[in-house]
Amino acid sequence: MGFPLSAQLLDSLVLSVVERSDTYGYELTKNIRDCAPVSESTLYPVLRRLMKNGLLESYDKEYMGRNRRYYHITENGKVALRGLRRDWEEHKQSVEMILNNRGESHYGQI
Amino acid sequence: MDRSEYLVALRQYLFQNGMSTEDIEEAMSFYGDFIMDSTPEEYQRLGSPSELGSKILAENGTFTGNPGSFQMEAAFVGGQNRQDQYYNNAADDQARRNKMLLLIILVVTIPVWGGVAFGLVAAAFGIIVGLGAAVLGLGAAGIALLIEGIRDLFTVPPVGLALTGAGFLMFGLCGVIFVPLIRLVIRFVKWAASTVSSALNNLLSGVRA
Repeated sequence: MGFPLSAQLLDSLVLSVVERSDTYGYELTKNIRDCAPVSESTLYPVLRRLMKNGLLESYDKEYMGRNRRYYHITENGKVALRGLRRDWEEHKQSVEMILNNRGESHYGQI
Repeated sequence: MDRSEYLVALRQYLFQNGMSTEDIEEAMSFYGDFIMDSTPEEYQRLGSPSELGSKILAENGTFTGNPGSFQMEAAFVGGQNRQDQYYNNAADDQARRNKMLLLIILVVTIPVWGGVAFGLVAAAFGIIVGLGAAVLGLGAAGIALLIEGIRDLFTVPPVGLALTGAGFLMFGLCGVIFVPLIRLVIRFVKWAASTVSSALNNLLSGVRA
């Protein structure tokens, strides 16, 4: 994706991926990378912040003789994600309005 | 350098640069997982253990003498403020707990303040009704005087004039007082209702949020 990700958008993506199903760091990184060239060292602070804010929680699950850390979305996380999706929708519409000359502008169609 | 050597070197780097054990464990559980899961090409992209380590330290707020690594952090901190509306951070939780406590106290102590509150409302109602009745009484008396005065005009004109005049005066006074009084009462009731409902809303939404 050619547009830089804001921290807010990155949070939205991480929350969305984890909402689909509980996931671990590697899988999460791969999922996010499908749309943005983020590095692992970008995602770690995002995960940490989301956990600190109680939007995600983690648990360890045994995998091939070691513990793998899984992330799970909390109720607060789902609420926050709904808010972020609403914001994204608004943001998308206002960008589309100018970029693709769609929707209603205050000044009518040009 | 194989995966476990890489991880040992990373842990050692973080430790030597003064990161707390707790933070090291957390970081290691993320990067350790990632490195164990990824292909060799993927984890080599992370850079050397000390390169990755200094990034982790920068994001953790520990300065390693590489000012460039702080810019990313600054961008995140800036973005973070805007998101606070979504996040129930510690302060919000505290405020919610306080409101919950206040609500519980209010409910539990209803027997104490309920009587007083009810008394105050009843007293206000009594005063309003009393004032209204007095003013309406003035008007009624005015009308009665007017009728009597008009009748007397034909028998004892001076008395009739005086009575009619008094009747007009009282009826007029009633009008002058009554209309603003009603307006005042309506405004007071609206104000009281909105104050009570906004206080309740505030309390309940604070608890529900």
